Amino acid sequence: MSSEYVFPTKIFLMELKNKLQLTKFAKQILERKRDSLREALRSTMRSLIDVIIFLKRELIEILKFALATHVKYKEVIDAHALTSIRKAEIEVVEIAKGGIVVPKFRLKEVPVPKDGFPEGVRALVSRIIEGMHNILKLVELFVEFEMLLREIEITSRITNTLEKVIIPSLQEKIDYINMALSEIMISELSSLRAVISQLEGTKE
Amino acid sequence: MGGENIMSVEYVAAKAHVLRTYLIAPSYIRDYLVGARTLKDIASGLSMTYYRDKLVSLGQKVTKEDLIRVINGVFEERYAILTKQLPDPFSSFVDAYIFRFDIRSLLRIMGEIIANIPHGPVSSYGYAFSKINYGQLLKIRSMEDLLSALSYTPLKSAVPLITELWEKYQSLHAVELALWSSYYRMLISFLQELPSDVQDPIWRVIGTEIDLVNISVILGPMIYGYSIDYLDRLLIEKTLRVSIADLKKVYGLEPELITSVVPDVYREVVEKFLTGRDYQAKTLAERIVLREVLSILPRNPAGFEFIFGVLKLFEFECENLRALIESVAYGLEKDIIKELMVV
Repeated sequence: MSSEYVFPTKIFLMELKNKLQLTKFAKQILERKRDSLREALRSTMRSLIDVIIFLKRELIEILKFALATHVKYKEVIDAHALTSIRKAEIEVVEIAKGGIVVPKFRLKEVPVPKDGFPEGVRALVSRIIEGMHNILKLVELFVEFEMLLREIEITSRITNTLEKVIIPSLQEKIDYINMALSEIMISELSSLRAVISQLEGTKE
Repeated sequence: MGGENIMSVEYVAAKAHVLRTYLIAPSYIRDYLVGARTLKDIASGLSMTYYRDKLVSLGQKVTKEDLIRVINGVFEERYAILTKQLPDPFSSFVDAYIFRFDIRSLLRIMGEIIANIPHGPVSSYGYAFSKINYGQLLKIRSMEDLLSALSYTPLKSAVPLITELWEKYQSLHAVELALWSSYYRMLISFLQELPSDVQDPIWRVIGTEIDLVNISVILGPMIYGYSIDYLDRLLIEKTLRVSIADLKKVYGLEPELITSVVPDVYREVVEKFLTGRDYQAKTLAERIVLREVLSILPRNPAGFEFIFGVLKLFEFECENLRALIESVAYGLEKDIIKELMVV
């Protein structure tokens, strides 16, 4: 039994019983949440596989294109690499999935430099901008996947703590109080019997 | 042209004939070298060629940088052999032509200054034939000072235009276009100093390059929606096959299709540019230039056109091998490497 102090009183027993009932209810809810998260994870995993299969070709194509362009326009790309840094604006929309909030990324605006890029760099930039939606989709799924995994881990840990530690401990306390109370009752009963027999002896 | 000059040109042309035999056969590059999977494979493939002696010093572990250093070294050596005894005005023309390598290094330095990132070692910018003192140039910290320093290079006449464009647009792209258009204008002026019988074949090569530069410049705003403010000023007026007036029609009130205003020979290049396949377009463009080079070689085997043609072939070989080394280092597939080869 835990080292926590236990009062062997009826009120405390009732309190503990309520606590146990509430904890069991919380455990049931968390188990349902865990199942729902697992289902969401499975669905994200399926989407991720589909997206990877779909994007594999396209992303590898972009990579090959970027490398081939770099081979052919090495000096130009090296010269322009850091001179025209532009930031793309990405909107983050939060949606609920499996009981948690996951982000969705939307490409809001890609600034196109007015003065342009030279041959080679312009095609590379254009290709990467075209592929941005797909790259964002992949990133979004990976973020969602990671968040779901983290949430499942937290929920499982709490459910396990409730199941293996809190509930047995409460149960143990209740059992102890029940036992203590019945012992007190028995002892009180014996005392009462002694008092009754004493009273009956006095009458006689 | 004096008799002594003719003798020197013929002497250098004879050397060019010898040097040409050292070139790697296109079929060897196309069928064997592009199949290399590692840098060691390339080194082993090159050991069957002129590069064998240079590769001996590299030892067992071959790096990309080592191989590129060897390739550049051979190009510098060949260039020196060919141009050492060239008389004027041929040597002046070749000096002007080879300045293109310095323009690439200049652009890299400009990019580093604009982005405020440290420069690399001096040796990574210059070649043995460079006309620029890179040690001094790399000490410069601002674009304005760098542009002023261009007054001490063969592009001194273009400094006012480049400075004006930089002040107005603050864009490396504008400066780059100005550098290249000034370079080709300078080259045309040096070409006009050559004997008239030599001008025509050389112009076929340089003119093709200019046509392709103009096409690329005109396509930028059309495909990618860039501003055309300064592009108009940077098109090179003297062309070989394309007409600037026709090219400008694609931006006219009644725009014409770009494919209808360029000659058939460049149509495939334009199509590649239009589909955003710039690296393939560049290879195709270089192959067109290569065809021009190969067509001028037999015209006068003892003339300057032959020397210039062989010089171009050295340049193509150097570029092919560099592209091959970079591609293999990146792990690109054989089919893509083939697309990058100018053979």
